[in-house]
Amino acid sequence: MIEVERVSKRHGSVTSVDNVSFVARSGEVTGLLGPNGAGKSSLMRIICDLDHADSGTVRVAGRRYRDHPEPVRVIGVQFEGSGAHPSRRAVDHLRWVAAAAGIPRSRVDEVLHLVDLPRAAWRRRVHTYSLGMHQRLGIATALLGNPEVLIFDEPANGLDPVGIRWLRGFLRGLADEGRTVLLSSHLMSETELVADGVVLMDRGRTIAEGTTTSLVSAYGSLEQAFFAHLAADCQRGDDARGTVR
Amino acid sequence: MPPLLRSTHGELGKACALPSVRLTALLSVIGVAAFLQLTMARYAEASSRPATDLSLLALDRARVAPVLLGAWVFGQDAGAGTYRRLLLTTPRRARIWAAKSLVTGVLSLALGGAVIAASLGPPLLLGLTTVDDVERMLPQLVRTGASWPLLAVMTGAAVLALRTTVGVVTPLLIWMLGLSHLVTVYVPALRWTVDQLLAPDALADGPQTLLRGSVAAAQAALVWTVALVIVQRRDAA
Repeated sequence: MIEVERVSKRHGSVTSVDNVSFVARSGEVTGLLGPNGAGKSSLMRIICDLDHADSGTVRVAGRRYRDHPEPVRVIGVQFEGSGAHPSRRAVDHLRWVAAAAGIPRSRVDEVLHLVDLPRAAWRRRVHTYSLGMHQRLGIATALLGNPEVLIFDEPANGLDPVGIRWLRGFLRGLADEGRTVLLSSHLMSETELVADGVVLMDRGRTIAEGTTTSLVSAYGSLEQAFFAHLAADCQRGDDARGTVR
Repeated sequence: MPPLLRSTHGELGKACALPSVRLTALLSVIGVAAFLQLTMARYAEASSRPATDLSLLALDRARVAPVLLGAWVFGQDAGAGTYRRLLLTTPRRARIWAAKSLVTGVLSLALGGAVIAASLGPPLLLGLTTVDDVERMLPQLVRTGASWPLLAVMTGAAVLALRTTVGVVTPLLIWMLGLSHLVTVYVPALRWTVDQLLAPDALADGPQTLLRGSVAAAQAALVWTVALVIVQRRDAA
């Protein structure tokens, strides 16, 4: 489970995350949706302790990310791309992560099979990879510790239609195994097909939250729900500014 | 296995799998041996400089190697994606720092030993120096080798704190391979900068050796600590 409570973060004069709270539950895929610049990636980085929040708390599987003795074994994270050095081979990349986290080497082959990365590519240098292969290697790295919580930032970027379909089934399968899956995306139609619950974000704030089914039945699609809530949020903002004046 | 040991194991595997680390090590050893072979072939006919002086000159130029080694080991994670992966794998930044420093220190010490051996091989093979000469030089060579981990770790720490390899290594090499010596003529106080203190000729026997070594270690420790504080406080974005 991921619990985000009143998290805020400013970068200079810009508020990138503004008092955001939500819970991502076990056995579900939770989608963090919003346009580019909505604050999804900033929030993801805060969840993983890559960035420091100005206020609020985040607990992943009951603790802060950095308080887990071996986070890789509990929380699998994939940010855009693979996170591997371009001149390293995929197996070498996974081996160092495994060594640092105390995971057996044999797991490296297992995860490379799981993500369907062609065997011929395992020993190729990562700079020769396509964007889709980078994504698969990133997902393999996230899965290395067989974690109960998985966090993916725009995992569909660079995947071809076959890859996107594979990813959909793959994420669904992870949630069905009882894992918590948090997925950030700006592809609303794609997220609609896989997510159980969604958090809609814009300009650092949560503008709506609920189950995918309830939002789709109320608005017709997640995209419609997003724009309806965005319009309502803008209206509230205008009203608030009017009140202040 | 304790967490620090696991991180060090991971860092060691990562460093050894990086082509630039292996290439730097290989070229340093070959470069020093080749430099001496060529210089001494000429020296045998014309020069009157002792062969041991040329070995020290070769070692002075070879200080590029620990600088590059430190830059590769720390700097391989300076990119946005690799840096994130590093922190996701080991969120305790002080542990990363310790592991990287240990690996850099051990690798540069090993490389220092190999390069010193390469610097002694050609003069011995050509009969331009004797085992007695080498024995006389030995304490100085050991001190030179011991100074390499300081250079490597200090460079690496600066690279990862500032998240730029070229931005740190280029000015540092320009400084170390000429500018520093030039400026020292006009500003004598610069004789106490770390690169001057760690130059092989500065490590010759003498009452000031320990003081010089300590000052150099203190300067390297300061850079290392400041870099760690920067890394601890800064967001990974």
